[in-house]
Amino acid sequence: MKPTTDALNKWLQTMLINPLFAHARFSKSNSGDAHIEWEFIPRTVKKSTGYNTSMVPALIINIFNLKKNAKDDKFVHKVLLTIKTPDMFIANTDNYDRDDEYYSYFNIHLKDLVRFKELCDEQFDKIRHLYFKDVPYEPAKSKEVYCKEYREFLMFKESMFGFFYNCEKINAKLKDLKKDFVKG
Amino acid sequence: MKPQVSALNDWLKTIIVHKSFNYMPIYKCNPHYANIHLGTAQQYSYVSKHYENTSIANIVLAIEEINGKLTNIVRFSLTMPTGFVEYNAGDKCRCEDFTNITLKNLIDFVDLFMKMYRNTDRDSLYSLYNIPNHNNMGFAQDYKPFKGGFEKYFKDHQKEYDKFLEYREILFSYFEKNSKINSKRKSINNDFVKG
Repeated sequence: MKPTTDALNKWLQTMLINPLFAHARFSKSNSGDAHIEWEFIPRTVKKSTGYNTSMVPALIINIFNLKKNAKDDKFVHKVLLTIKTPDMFIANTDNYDRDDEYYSYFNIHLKDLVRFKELCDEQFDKIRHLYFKDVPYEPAKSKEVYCKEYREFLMFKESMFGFFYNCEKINAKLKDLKKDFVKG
Repeated sequence: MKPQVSALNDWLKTIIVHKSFNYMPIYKCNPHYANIHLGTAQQYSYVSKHYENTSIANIVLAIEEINGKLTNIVRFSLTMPTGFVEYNAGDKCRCEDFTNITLKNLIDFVDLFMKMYRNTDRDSLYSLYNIPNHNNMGFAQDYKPFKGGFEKYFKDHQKEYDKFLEYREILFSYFEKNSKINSKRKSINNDFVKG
């Protein structure tokens, strides 16, 4: 087995049985990447004959294993975080995926992922209701309320992406990354 | 950690990295249960009144101590394609529990399921969930406006309905057969963890 696949497998085996990741759905692709999704929310998608509502994941983490970096012979991995925007904040567009924001980060440790999940569970509880609002946004509500709720969502998004951004910066300075990446 | 939880975790550690389970969402609901979604399809939800991408075949894994012995329980459920449900409303979903299934049985079962689900023939299990009906007009690729009553619809698709029942019987029989065979073996306790 390739060392990168082996390392990814160890991550998955640890996360899947960790109580913090209860209900989070794990799947692995043939190419050795993994997908973790949780917090399922209703999303309306325009189809040829009308609107179709599905429960889709609001938060997705993809873990990609990249080949060894030729320069320093280190394992390189990439963690990609996707956050879906609540339907009520997406106006006048048929392409709902357009407003799903995602960024990728390198040098994330397993323990960072566990901490992220903990933080995310806590924060998402505060904004979950935004995903369950009627679409289009209730016109009776004032613009101020709309803006306040939108700010809440942006703050949530910022703290989630910011978490990985900080971890990436801190970990990049660590010398023993190879070991950490496997063991977390 | 309880031996049941530890045994379930051992199964999951093997399953999550096994190729046969690639692309299948796997999750633990609580320390004692785990879920595996084998396949999804766009199906009409009588709850939301919309078409939803839902799991049509699902496995729940649990391990319990029965008479002082660790016993695994595999619950398999298979949903009937929406179009056929109106023919037999009481048969929307078949769900059964099986004991003494080894990890090897489970892996072989998943391979068998995927062969049926994704075969290249026109009558793969997946294709049976995409037959146009009055609920999913416009969602299926070969869209044809649904005309006439359900009787006509059913007459047109009797072959597919029979095919579905045949697939379903094969899948449930697989577990039933292996459950019986394994229950006679002495070393099942060992097998069920190691496969």
